[in-house]
Amino acid sequence: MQDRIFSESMDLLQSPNFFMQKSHGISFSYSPFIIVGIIITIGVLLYLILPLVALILRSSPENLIESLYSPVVIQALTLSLFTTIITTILILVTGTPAAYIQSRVNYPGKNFVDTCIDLPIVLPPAVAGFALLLMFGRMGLLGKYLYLFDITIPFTTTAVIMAQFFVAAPLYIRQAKALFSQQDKIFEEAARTLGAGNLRVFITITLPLTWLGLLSGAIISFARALGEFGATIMFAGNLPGITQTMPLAIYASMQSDFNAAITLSIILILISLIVMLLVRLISGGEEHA
Amino acid sequence: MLECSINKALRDFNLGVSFYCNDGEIIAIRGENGTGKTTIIRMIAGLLEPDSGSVILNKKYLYDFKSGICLPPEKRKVAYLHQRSTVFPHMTVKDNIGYSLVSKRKSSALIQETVVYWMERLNISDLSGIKGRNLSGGQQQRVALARALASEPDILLLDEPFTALDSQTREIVRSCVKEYVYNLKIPCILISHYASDITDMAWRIYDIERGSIIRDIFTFIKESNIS
Repeated sequence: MQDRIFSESMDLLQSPNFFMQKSHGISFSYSPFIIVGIIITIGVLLYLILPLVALILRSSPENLIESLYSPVVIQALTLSLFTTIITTILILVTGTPAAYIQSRVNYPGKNFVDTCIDLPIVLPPAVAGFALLLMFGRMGLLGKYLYLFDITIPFTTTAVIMAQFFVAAPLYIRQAKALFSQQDKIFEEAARTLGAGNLRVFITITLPLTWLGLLSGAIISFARALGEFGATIMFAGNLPGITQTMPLAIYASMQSDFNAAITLSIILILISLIVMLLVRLISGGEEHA
Repeated sequence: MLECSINKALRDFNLGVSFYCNDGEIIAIRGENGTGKTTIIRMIAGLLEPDSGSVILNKKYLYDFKSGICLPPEKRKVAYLHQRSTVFPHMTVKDNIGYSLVSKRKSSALIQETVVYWMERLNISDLSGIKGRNLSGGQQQRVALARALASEPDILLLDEPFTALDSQTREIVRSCVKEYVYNLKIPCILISHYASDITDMAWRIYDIERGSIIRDIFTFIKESNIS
């Protein structure tokens, strides 16, 4: 969204007839309403971009390269990528069938189930982490039974993945559900009359016709999981090399190793930027497909 | 032979029809828009469940309210040609035509042979490797017909399939359908808005109004047309 506003306002400013714009075929001239709108847009844009600029300016290239090799950064980066990739795979494998069922099968109480699936999107991550702890902790609802079998989940890498899944999966399921609902049913119906069962229809028709959208949903979930902080620190703790992902490492090293915090932040900014560009590229490709 | 007697409550009226179609016969269902023609076809294909009644094809129940039988579409061996193009946009023409044969796990040699035959028959051999989404409307309808006929159906359901075709192609396609139905002795139901399609192809016409059959017209037998 930010980069869209940015590019649109830049287009506007660079245009030769700045005060005689044509927008969607309706011409408008210099009007106070438009000018105020542009000023507000620039203000919002600066507010969104300047803090990131400040972060980047604070570091020097030498410091950046030097702290890239610091154990904190390497550990956090490796752990973050490892857990986030596993989380994304788990989300794809479980979220796709769940979204398909939610979009195609009607049953009583479906709206309620939909709401429950969407709930973690708006739930404060700290609450999500606390809830996971009360479920899987040693004294937790399920955790106390797992503990009997010597299985402890909190404060392990597994807990990191579970926390990420909890907050990121609903984003993917929501997107996939919308895609499956919007998908024209005539191709699936044609495949059914041509002798294909539900599974074959899903694999040969539904998935190939929606995969680009599913991919962009997966990328958004990946980004959300990568940035996960609240639920992770509550449920998995902050143990370097085991549960200390990049956002947690930024928080931990702010006091001790300022350069490492900046380096990690810049890496996350770069990844976020790449994610947004990828999603835009994919949704552009989808429109032209 | 198809024996169909189905009821379904629709939004504006109750659909209740009872008709038959002999093997090797083409019947037409004629009526205004929104009278339930497509609904009837969809219920025979298994894409929509009737409220009551029965659909019997070659003495086998596809649907029977009393005994609770309702076969899914993939078990019915129907070929359903839609008024909109249903050619799979992400597959090549070749893969589209062979789709049903792959579903039935036929050998690749047989699939290849059948696909080539139908592409030649409908004059679309040059489109073999082209993706469905890149075809014109008329080409798509020919591919859809080739795909339907290649599936060796027990019944052919045609829901205004000739709309996008020019007059020359239309003639090729119509004669292809007639020959297929006659040679394979399967029932065929045609919905069309074009009087010329109906008089050229149909042996009997059912006129339908607000979900009920109001007339059953026997046209003259046109065996001379089938050669």
